[in-house]
Amino acid sequence: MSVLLKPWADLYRQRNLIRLMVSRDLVGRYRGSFAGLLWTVVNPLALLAIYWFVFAVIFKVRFGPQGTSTNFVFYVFAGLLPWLAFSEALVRSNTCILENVNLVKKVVFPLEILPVNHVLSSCVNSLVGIFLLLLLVAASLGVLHWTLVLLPMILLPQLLLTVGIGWFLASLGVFIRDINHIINLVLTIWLFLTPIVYPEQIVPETLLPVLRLNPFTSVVAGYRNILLEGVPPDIGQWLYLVVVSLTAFFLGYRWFLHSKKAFADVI
Amino acid sequence: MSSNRCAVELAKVSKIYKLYERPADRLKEALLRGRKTYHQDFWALRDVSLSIAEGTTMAIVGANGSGKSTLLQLVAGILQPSTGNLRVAGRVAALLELGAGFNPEHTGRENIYINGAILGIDPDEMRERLDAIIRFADIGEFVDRPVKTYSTGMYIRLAFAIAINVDPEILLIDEALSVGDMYFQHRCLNKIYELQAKGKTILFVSHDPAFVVTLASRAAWLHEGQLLDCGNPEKIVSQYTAAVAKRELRERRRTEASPTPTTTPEDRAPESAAAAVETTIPNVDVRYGNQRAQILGLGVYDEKGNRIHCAESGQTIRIRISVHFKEAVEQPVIGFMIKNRIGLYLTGTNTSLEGHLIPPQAKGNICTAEFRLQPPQLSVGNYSFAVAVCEGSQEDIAIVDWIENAYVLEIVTLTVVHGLLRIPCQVEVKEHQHHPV
Repeated sequence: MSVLLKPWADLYRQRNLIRLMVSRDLVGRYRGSFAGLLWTVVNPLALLAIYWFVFAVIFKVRFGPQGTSTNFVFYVFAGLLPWLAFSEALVRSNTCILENVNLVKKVVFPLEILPVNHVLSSCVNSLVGIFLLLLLVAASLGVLHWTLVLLPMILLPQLLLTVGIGWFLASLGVFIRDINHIINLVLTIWLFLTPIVYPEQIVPETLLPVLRLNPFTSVVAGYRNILLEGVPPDIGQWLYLVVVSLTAFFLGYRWFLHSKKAFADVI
Repeated sequence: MSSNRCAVELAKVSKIYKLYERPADRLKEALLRGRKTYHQDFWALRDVSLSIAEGTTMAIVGANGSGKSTLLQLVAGILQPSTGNLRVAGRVAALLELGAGFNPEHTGRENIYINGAILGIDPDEMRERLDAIIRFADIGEFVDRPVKTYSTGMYIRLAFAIAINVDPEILLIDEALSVGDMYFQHRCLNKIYELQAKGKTILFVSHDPAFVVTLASRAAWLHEGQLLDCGNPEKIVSQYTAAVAKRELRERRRTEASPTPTTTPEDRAPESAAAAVETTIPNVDVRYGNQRAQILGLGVYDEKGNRIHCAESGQTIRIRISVHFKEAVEQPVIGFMIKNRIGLYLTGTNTSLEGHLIPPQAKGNICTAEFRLQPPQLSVGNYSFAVAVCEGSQEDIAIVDWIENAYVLEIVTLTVVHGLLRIPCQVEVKEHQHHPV
């Protein structure tokens, strides 16, 4: 049992440091830039525009029951937001140890919180985007779905999954520098293996099991269920997501703690 | 104050680094799981056993690469020992590299809070200490500017201020004491005395014998990863400085060994000055003069005639300068000047000033002047010698050959020297009891 409690207890002990560093990261990201916080939404909106042009206008991909252009924008945006938070946190986690050599070699620092900081900081950005999406939905439909309150049900497993993989990548990044180059490629493949820019319905029957194995399929489906369709997430898919996330979280933490002892020797 | 409880205890601790020629070798070895080794072992520390009682101030001395910093990093918990046991009881604040935990983009204030949180102090508690830290660091309004805009001095002061104001039970300091301006050093020393009085354990690395002797209650001497000795700081420092001087001498002898047969044996100054000619000039930074005569060489010896590069403060020094006259010189004068490490002329003299008039020298003559100095106790550091030949009288003098920074002598001392030097002094204290003021 103590094995299951340890990560939580450790992270709780560092709550002040995490809070300080995350808020500092958010402030620092936009300090000195003209548009400031606006960039948080400009980037996903720009990506959204590109995907809309390529997939909705050129390939005529349709989402949802009505299959309108507005629907496409909402569906892709709802899937893109968690994905961007996920991939950004992973890319940053991968280099976070190497970028903080001083914290490894010169001071006693709880290194395990570095990936956590990145996950939380990109989650905050993602929440800004979700807020914008809700405004758009409310403006176009005139109402918001009650299922909105179920957001933590999807968000929490999503964060655990990201942190778990983040710990693996942070640790591997120290030992195998090539990961840095591979990660963007893998993330691009992963993005297209997730039904974000196309609906699950148009995927060939034979490929569906592969798509279902991908835990992020459940995350994206969950966001769409809750924010756009007003139905609770599919319980089977959700349970699968929770199991995979918790497994990644605990294994990632154990791996990180185990390998962290060697960081100072390798860097 | 000094109880028997151990604050830090090392039992046969070793730190081995595996050195790989290529990063891929590390992976290969991990995959083969010990069936074949690709690495070479480097022992940064070997079987070090040391226990530091609570309330002790322990100094660690040793040459570069002797494992001092590794030892501190182990105690701080940054490195894990390869073998052996290490036990540390209490909150550790480490100043291993000043300001290493700082993020240069963050302001001083943000760094104070984050550093506090790293040491496990919550922001509320840190807020209470904020004023004390800012006052100690003396950085004024800079506290709200990014740390990257700080001068080195401010950076160091802030780091030090945080480390000693977070109430550590064990304070580790790696060669940090010798930085900062004099006022700040003074303030730091006072704070360290304060921590000592509170019974805190302090472990520091210093190359400055004066610091070791004045601050530490015990000292440990590391040499190539092994603990050579541990005990009374005065004893350890004198052993250590003697070993350093001996090694420097050996190395100098090796590099100075001149192939010319005219060289006199290096180690001993010949008893009769007339027979011995100094033939080596260890260093030439700037050389000028009319070159009607040339300095052939110089040597610095102790009283017994051993060539020295390191002298104890206050000991007798003999300086010998040999000059070759290329032309006839009517009134030659041979002399030297001594500068301290910041380039301040400390003293200097010459044959004429000391009342020794050298007779006119014919072309081709060689002569050697020997000066016996009884210097006062000088503060520790490197002293640089400029040597010169001139001609003429004190009133009307021409420089024939002047060599700047020709020789460097290191002065070490076990006693405290305030300022540049210590002058002989007698003290008498009378107590006036019941005396109306």
